[in-house]
Amino acid sequence: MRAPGLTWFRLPLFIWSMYATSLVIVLGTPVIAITLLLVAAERLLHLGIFDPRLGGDPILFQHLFWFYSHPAVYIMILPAMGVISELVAAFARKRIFGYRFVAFASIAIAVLGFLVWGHHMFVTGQSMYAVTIFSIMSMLVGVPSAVKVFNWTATLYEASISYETPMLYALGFIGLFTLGGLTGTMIATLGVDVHLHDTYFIVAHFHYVMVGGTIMAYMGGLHYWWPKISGRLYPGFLSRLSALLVFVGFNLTFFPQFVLGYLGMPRRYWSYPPEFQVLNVLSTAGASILGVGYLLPLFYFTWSIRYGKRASENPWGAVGLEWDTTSPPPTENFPVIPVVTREPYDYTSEEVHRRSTQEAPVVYQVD
Amino acid sequence: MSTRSTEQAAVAIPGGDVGGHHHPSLQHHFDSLAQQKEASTFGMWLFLVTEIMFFGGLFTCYVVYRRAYSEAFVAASHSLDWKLGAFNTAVLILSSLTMALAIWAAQVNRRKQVVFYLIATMFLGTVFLGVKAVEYADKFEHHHVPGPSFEWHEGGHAEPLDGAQSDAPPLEDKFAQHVQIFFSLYFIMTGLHAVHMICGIGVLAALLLPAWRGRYNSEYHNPLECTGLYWHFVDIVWIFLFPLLYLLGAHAT
Repeated sequence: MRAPGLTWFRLPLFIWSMYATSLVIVLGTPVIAITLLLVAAERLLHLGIFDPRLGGDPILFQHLFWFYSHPAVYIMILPAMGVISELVAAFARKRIFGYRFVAFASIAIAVLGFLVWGHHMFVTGQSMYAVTIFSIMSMLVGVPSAVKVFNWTATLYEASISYETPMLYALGFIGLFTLGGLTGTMIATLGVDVHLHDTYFIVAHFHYVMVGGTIMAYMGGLHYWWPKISGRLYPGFLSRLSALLVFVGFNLTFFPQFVLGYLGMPRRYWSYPPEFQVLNVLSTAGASILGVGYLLPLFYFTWSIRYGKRASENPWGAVGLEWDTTSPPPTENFPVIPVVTREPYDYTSEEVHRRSTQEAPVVYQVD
Repeated sequence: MSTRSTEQAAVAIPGGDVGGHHHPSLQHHFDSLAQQKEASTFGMWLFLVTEIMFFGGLFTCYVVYRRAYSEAFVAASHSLDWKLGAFNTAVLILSSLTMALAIWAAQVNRRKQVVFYLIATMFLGTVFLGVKAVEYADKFEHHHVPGPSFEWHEGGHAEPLDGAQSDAPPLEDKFAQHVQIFFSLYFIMTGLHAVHMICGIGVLAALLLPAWRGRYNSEYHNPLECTGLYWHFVDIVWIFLFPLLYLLGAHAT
């Protein structure tokens, strides 16, 4: 149950984004469930629904599939955006710029996300009108996404930023997601998509959003809440190094794929003409660096569970209910139900100011 | 947001458990019966929303093929017995009434009537399934079940299958193939509906014993109400299925 005083506009933005995500899950997942059931019935019971040999329409399957599977990418990116809002506020020590805009942008993305699935099907011969509408709607998704990026950037403006590991991931997210989003509006354009469809450009685009976006936010969130989850601190230098390796490795892996795709290398083929060799080798090298970047946290998090220094209640000097309870929290989270009297991200209040200056966060143990 | 050192206090919730006396049906994470009821009803509505999207995908398939193969759909629809369908529609509407009466009986504390109406609802649900079984048996008899044994001789113009479809099952013509799609949808739609009916009857059966023991009364009857919402939903699905499957092209004859 919500704590007393925790009104809608006192909710952390992560909760707002989870609310938007839930809408997508509730409305989208049942459609893929019935689609899978129909495919199973077709395979097992010989009921013709999608199989053209039985008079069925495979394009109908694609519609049903993408009706879920496009919103599904918003199921992945919306919580990530919520995490980034938390991290940016905590490490910029500032109230999020335009809280309500960021909150409603999540809802807008969830709603628009249901109206754009046809952009996966530009080359299936759908009508020009459908293509036009799907193209316009897809570009509209860029509006609430840009609202978020601009508001995070505005939050960083004139802030006292501390470059802790979670913040490194958050900054990485903002840059990479912006690239992923901008290439998204490129391929939402019909003429460009016909050229880029099923090429490595698409692979690069969705990895910039899903890995550069979602996974970066996941890693940032994990590093942010790890002391709360485990009650332990992790090594500062190693974790910063891993964030750097992930960023460099990621770009080296996927940026060449934009070029490859634009030059015409198709997806889902292992072989390619010799002129694509250099870019493919760069991509493979990047993947190796990325792998090291991902493996490092596995080691130091495991290490920290046993040997890490014990974390205080609030190692980052952050605001938010979770930082008011012990690390890790007790059963049912709070010994006494807290009463919420303030807006979220209240980093400018006197008390927080005192806490952030006098009780300077001792987060990492000395390496 | 509250901070560590300030504003933490135990909160007395009005209408909550006073002096440690819990209502036996109040779960520990709710403050009051009213809150519990609101949460469970809301949860049930959310579930029904997912059900609507689930059946929605199916109805989308129906709409697409109904438009593409309208003639075959009308011919296939005529082979169904609309009288049995209409009878089943009446049975289901009546079962929705008995379901609503069961909830009403709980609200006015009539324990035996709750049990009676629950049994009546289960009985009507079973009658529906029985009629459905008779109809299904008829389809098997007339080779109207999609698959290798499917046959269609009841009208429609024959149109040869083109070469690309030569490895298709031995269907005489495209028209029969389109009729087969109607029956595919018929079996999936009514089959899924029947599965929902069986689940509903199972849930009603689970409610019987607590109802007999007087667990549901004017103070607490969430399970009855949520089951009622579900039962009405399944009923409404049938209200859509009946005309879509049984009454196609009725205006033409």
